[in-house]
Amino acid sequence: MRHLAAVIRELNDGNGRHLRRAAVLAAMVPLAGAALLGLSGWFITASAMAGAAGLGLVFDFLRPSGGIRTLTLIRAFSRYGERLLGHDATLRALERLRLRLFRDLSAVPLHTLARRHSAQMLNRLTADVEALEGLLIRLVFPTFAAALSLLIGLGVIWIIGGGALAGALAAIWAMGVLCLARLAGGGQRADARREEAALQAIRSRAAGLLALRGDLLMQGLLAQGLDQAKAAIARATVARSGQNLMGRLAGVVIHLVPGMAIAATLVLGGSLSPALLLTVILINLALTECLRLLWRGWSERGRIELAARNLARRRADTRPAPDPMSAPAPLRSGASLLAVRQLVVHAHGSGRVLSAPVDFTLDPGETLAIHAPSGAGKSTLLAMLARAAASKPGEITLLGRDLCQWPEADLRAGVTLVPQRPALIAGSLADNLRIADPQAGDAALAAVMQAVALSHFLTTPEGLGRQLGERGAGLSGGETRRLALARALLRQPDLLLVDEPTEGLDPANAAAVLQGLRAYLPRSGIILVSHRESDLAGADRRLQLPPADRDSRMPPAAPPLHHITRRGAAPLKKEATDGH
Amino acid sequence: MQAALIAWVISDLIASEMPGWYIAPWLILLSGLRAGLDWMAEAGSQDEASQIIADLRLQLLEAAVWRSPSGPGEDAAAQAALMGEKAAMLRPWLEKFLPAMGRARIVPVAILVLVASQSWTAALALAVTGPLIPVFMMLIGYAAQAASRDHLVEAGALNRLLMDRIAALAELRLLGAVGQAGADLEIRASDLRSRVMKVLRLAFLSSTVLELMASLGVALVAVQMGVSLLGLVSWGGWGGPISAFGAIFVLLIVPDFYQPMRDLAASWHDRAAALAVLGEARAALAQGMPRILGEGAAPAARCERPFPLRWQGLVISPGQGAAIAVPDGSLLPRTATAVTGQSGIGKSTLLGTLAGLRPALSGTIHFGDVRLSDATVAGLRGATGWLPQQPRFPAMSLRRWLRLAAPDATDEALIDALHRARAGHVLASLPQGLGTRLGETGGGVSGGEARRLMIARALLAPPALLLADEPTADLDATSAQEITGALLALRGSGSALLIATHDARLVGAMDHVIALHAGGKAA
Repeated sequence: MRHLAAVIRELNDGNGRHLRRAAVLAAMVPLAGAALLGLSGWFITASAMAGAAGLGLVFDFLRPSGGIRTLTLIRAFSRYGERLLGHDATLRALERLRLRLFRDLSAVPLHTLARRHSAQMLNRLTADVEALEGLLIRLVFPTFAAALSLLIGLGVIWIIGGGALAGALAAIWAMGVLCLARLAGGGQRADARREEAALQAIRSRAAGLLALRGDLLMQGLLAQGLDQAKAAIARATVARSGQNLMGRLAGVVIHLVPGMAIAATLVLGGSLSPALLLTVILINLALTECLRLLWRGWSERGRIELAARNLARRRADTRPAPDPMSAPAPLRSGASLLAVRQLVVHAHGSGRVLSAPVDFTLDPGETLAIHAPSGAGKSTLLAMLARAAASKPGEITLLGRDLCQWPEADLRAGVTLVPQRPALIAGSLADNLRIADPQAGDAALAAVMQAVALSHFLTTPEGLGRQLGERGAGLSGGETRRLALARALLRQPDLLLVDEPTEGLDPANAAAVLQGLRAYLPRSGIILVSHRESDLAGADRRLQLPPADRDSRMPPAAPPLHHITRRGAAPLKKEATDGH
Repeated sequence: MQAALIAWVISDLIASEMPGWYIAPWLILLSGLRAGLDWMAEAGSQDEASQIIADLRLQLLEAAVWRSPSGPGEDAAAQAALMGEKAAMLRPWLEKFLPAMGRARIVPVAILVLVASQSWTAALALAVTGPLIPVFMMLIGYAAQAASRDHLVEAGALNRLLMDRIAALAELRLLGAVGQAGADLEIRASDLRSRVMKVLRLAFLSSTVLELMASLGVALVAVQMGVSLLGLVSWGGWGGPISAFGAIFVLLIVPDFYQPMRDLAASWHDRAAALAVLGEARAALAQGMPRILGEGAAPAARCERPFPLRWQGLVISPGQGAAIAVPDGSLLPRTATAVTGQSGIGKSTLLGTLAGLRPALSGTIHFGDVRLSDATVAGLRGATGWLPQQPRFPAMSLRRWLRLAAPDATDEALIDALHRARAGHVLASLPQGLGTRLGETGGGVSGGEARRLMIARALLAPPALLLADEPTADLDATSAQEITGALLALRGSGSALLIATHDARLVGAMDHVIALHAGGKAA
């Protein structure tokens, strides 16, 4: 409930006028319906009595029948207005919710982002947002409309039939509402949660099972996986049948309450004229609609509440990364571009030590190639250098200032990392490039495309307007990586970090890309990770990442061996400054 | 029924004959009866819906899981979504729309007859407004469909946009472009919303028309009744003005004339969604893809596989319509054989065919005297080891997973096997050693390390045949060498190895080479 209230507040925030209007219109619908039936009943009965009394010619039938027509129109149009305004308000509110989610997520520490990227997480996130769509349209508005209609309906009955009748009817209707509330209570919500969990389980188990079915079969694990998926299917069915039972019980309440109310009217309303009696009865019949409205929303409350809670929980663990410095240490002029001291590479998830401590420096215009066995932490090292993975203070110094102390914006302006599997967005090639620099002109875009040997796109009829699908679908792996490189070049970083830039490229293209990078960024430091001999050969220096001590799980205490080899003469470069 | 009772009471009251309370218990009884009938009808349709959905899920699961694996092109997530939330979208259609459809065929006609028994003019009003409703709704429905086409509005477009951007969030951060991407997202989202609202405006018209017609019908009947009762007109009922009972009765049951149509309208979009899901499910079930041999048969426990393994006239199909002839060959214990050929030629397909994961187009495979077929595959599979390119692990501890191969192995035996598979340092680096849960993606173990773990598992109970797919791909020279050493250790313990690879060094370490060529005659 707490989470629901929070979400309602959030949806209401800045959107209140829309919501209130929609809610009022929502209430008009059952009210006009009740008034319509009531008035019609009164009209007919009164007519019959007037007719029977021979007063037909003096009975004013124009006004009531005009009223009936007016109510009809009011009802139809308020229904239209309610649905339109309600959807508009909901769409607006959810749009803001989505944007806020995006902004919240964009503020979390970078190394925790990877976990959130799984397709399943994203699916769950959007499913939760979608479930909230029902919050206003099916839960909040109808509850409000039903409550208001019941109150006004009973008020009218009070005026017509007096306090005793109205009191009795109010008691009966209140009992109905309470019964529905009870049915929509804990048990029903628990079933809704169970069903949701079972659906998630079906999806994740089936996806895992199908993706790996060959391997699982060969390992003898397929039967077990299949049983788990079937069990999830059975759980979904059971949880649903619990909810179905509650739904049917609610149906009984919805039938019995108006029956009882009408019976009570007949018993207690003996003193009313037949016309007014029928009016009261018809109002009661019309109020049945309120119970239906209530149940429709309440029966979905479990799912909606679950979504609200998931989103709240997600909000809670999107703690923004602390932006370190209000007054960062000054940059030291004359310091080397990058200095790394006694840096130990840890895997982010498990905290496994991947490398022995490593030291190196990099100067502007220099290219350093890092190589190491697979799984030795090369990619993690690059992430640490870009502060996309945590490092300890003192381990990495950029332009004389500790990496931990760089303000985010300045750091991103100076350092760009191109990961091994870069992500593109849906949109044109130009859209993707302009992420890096919204103001970049066509000439600048063409220049970076040329630098990464993608100039053949420029000569196609669509050129840079070529549309990519979601996550850049439509490009090969090599093209994706090169487009991401081109995007990074537009940033003109002081330090460019690239992970396996030439994977999947033929030797001629690979060489062209590396030369293109250097030519486009003559004064920048470039660090590339690769295990391709030709890539390593093109660098000024190479560094073999020293492996962690294999016999111990603890980080070694003794200073490790170093594996920096200096290649060729590089007269402008300083002496190797690895300190050993 | 209820309506008739009330009408009778009121008309009696008009004639002031009988006290109302006399009737009250009957009224409650009738409500109860109606509730009971409703309960039974709903229970029936709900149970049936649950059954149909569960059956569909199981069918989809069984159909998909025994389809031959065909590489990275498959979208397991989409199929899983079809089994999960998409199948659930059938429910409102089955539970609400179909029963409402049935009611819409019967109830209005019955009510029309009842009304006509009281007043032919009222019946006429209903008979005219009733059929207009579906016609209007259809017209507006088509207009809304056309509008959503014109405005390029698709369901879930905003979700997809958001997911696309969140997936690229790390990159956006690294490029310092989050603020701009947020602003861009905002513009696109609000543009999308205004297009959606244009479509909704039309779509909601249809339900408004329905409400309006229903209300007008009620109003028309009410006014007509009133006027007739006043004696202003002398027609309407049969043989003269309508009776008070008739008028009230008609007024009470007229809303029920429209109710089924309103129910239909309310669940109209359920129908569209359900039909889309059904279409998708039918397509998924109808796929005539090759299937895994010995579907559903329980795999045998470890068994001795009779040797030699040999194949004759084997033609395999690596993809759509392609056919590759495999040179006849055989495998003996303690030999290692490489399968070479350019990418996509069918190396992995050959491994899959020998493992019974996909049928051969033609030719025979014999293990000793036993021919590989649906009937024999389960028994033969028990002695086949499998080393995929990207090994995945079930969610269990390393110890338990290794013991699946050799249930009685001690920890020492496990550690020994890990060392022989050159995976000693992998074990050393795992936070809880043998007790570490690897998780589906290997929990921080790299691809090369995962392959070594798989080899260690094979070493614990050496299979007669080990099929390995590109065991050294994407690895640096040192790791590749270690893997090669581990594989040769496996050969030393008696297994026959068949290794698909294009790593020249690995090929060099093998005893035999089978080269696949596209030129092979197609069957």
